[in-house]
Amino acid sequence: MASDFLTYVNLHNNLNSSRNKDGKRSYFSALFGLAINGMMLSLIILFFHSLVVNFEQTGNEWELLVFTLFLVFLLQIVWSVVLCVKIFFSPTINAHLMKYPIHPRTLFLSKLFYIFIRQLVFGLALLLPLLNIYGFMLGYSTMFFVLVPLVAIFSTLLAFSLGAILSFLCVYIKMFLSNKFWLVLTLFVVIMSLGFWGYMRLIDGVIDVTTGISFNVNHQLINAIVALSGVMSTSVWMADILVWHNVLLNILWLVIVIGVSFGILMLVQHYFYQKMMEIGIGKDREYIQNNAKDKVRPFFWSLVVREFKMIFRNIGYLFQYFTFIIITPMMVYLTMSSSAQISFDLIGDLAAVAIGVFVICIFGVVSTSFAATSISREGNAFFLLRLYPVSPRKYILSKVMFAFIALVPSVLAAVGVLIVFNLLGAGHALLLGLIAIAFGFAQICLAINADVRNPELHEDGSISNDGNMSVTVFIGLLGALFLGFIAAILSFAVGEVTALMVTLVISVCFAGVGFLALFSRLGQKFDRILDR
Amino acid sequence: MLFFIDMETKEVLKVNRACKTYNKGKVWHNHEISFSINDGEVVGFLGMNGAGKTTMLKSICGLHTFDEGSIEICGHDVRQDPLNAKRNFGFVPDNHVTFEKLTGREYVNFSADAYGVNMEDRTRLIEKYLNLFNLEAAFDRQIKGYSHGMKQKVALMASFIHNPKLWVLDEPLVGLDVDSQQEVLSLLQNASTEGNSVFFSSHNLDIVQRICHRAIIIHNGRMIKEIDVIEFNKKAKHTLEDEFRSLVAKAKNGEEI
Repeated sequence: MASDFLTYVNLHNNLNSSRNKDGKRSYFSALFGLAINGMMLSLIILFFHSLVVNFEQTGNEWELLVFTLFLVFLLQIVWSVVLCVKIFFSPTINAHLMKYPIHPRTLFLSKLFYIFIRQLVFGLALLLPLLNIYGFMLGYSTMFFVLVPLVAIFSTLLAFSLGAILSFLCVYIKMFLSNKFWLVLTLFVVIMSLGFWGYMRLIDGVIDVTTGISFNVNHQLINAIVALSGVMSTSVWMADILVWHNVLLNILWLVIVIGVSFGILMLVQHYFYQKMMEIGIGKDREYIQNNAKDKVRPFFWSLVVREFKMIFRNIGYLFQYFTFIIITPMMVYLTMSSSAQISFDLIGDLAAVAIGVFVICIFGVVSTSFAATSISREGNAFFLLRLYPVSPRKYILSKVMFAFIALVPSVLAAVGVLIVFNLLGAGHALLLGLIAIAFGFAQICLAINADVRNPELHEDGSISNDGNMSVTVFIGLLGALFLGFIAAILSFAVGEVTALMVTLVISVCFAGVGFLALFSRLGQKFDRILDR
Repeated sequence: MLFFIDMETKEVLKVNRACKTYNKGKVWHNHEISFSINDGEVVGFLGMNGAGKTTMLKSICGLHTFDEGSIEICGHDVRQDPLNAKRNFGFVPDNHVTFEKLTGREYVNFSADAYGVNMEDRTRLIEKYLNLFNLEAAFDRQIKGYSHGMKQKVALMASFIHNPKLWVLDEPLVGLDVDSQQEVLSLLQNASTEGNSVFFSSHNLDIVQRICHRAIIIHNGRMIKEIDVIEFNKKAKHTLEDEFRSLVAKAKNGEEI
């Protein structure tokens, strides 16, 4: 009974995360999310189709099956960790639920059940299309398709239990790092840089682009996958089940491994869950101490300084705000150096400038996306700010300034990298920088405006539905694509410098329109927030 | 030392037929509410749950819009001249909301910057409040780790660091221990002695009877009675709570008050 109740509470809490404050479901956000997910899945399927063709040619289709199962399994573990950290250890919800006379194990199990449902949906959404395409393309019998859901459930159960165990470790690490912000920032930057570097190496060295839309998988990748497939035991068992090889034995192995994994999870829960929940909701927690003296500042700068403090004292925001800013120059360099060769192969040297516009604007969009939570992350404290004798204009200007402070050095560093590594001439690179700054400014205004119009003001400033960010990033990407397209067309027609100048003028127009849209009727927009 | 005070103003707060209309009909009939608060007065704002006290306080402080009538603080209309109106009051809401990521000192300094408080006054007032509230040990720690009472105290410090002419508080004593309640009451009484005005909502009628000069009672968005508490204390044979209960009961029954 209690478990049913808590399951309901968990489901209710989480299902409501996509509802806005008025209780209406944000259909636009839901549709938008569906469209983006659908697009991503279509791309993955398209890419997977090419992989199957390539692996079939070399006779390594079974290894591809093992590798696919393994890759999805890894993704499921990551997703499981993310969900478990969020749902097991949510301090607000736990503080609320712990008031009831319910054993922490019951609480844990109800959450576990909810996470499993979400995990299963995720697993099925990935595995069903991929494995069915694989089966169809290689002409497998009906039994293959019948066994696909069973394998998806096994994969989900195992990834889910391992992810849940790992989530405890993650939360411990998170607690350890909670007030070590410089260390966290450094770690974020290193991990993101390595990740992006690895990704670009994969694109560079493994996949040869031939005609622009079809991929030829490099033999290096095939060999690496064949070598790896031997050691991916659980994925081998699952692949064997699908191809009807030692089915019962493999099922037995999987059941044993899943059972052991769940056993460990319950032990970990028994010894650590309650203690970690209590730390999470504030008991025995360490808080920041700052012995700085009293200081008088102009209020505008006080607002900006406060923004920095709020960011530096929240790991999630720290990641969103600084990491992309710091690694944008590196990303621009890697993307430009990779795309230079591809673009040369496809459409010749003149495309470099257009690619440059597109790339630098895209990273500008990503690094300013943080502005889309400018109001929402204040939470209820937004109302405190309205008590001060400060106009909405000055307040919003401080938000624009805060985002702009990050954008400019990031773009300038990216421009410097382009010049130093000779990817573009100095003049071209500087024009590119100006375009990125103007476009980034427009993007900041667009993002803040979206949040001013529809903020999500929770008590603690948490954000459960980042619809504003998704929408503004999507619009930003379209804008970057548009500018890149204009630059490409004009480069061929009237030359690179003119193309860049025209693109700059368009970007400045975007910035002007964005600025006007943000600051027009600001008082009324604020009144609407107050009256919600 | 007072900041931003228009010395010629006698009425610190003037509410004139202020009316707020909600989507679902006129819930709050504030055309019936007109009152004023003068220099140095402590005025209690009383009403049952849902009577409209918080809405009224938020309208005074610019946290809610209102549709008709006017509200003036030290002669500044809160809609026409909101910035000057805001310079003349401090408000402590009932939900203990603060900037939790900041330390107590950072929050109070931020607030002081907003009101343009100079270093000398800032240091003096911070020292005064710290001594009164015994917050020294925690003042440089993040507010997130504060207890309920400590958050309320730091909110009071941040709201009144500019020593405003009008102090507005929504249920200032809720959740505070006996000592803390006494500290807050001392602060409010001192403010009044210094010539500032205090306007607060409360369900604690004993305290209202003890420290207020006047009490304003509302019911269903209607002002039903304004009581001179000093006179009441001299004459009445029953408590303010009894009087309040009797008035609200009459209002509920639609009787003449």
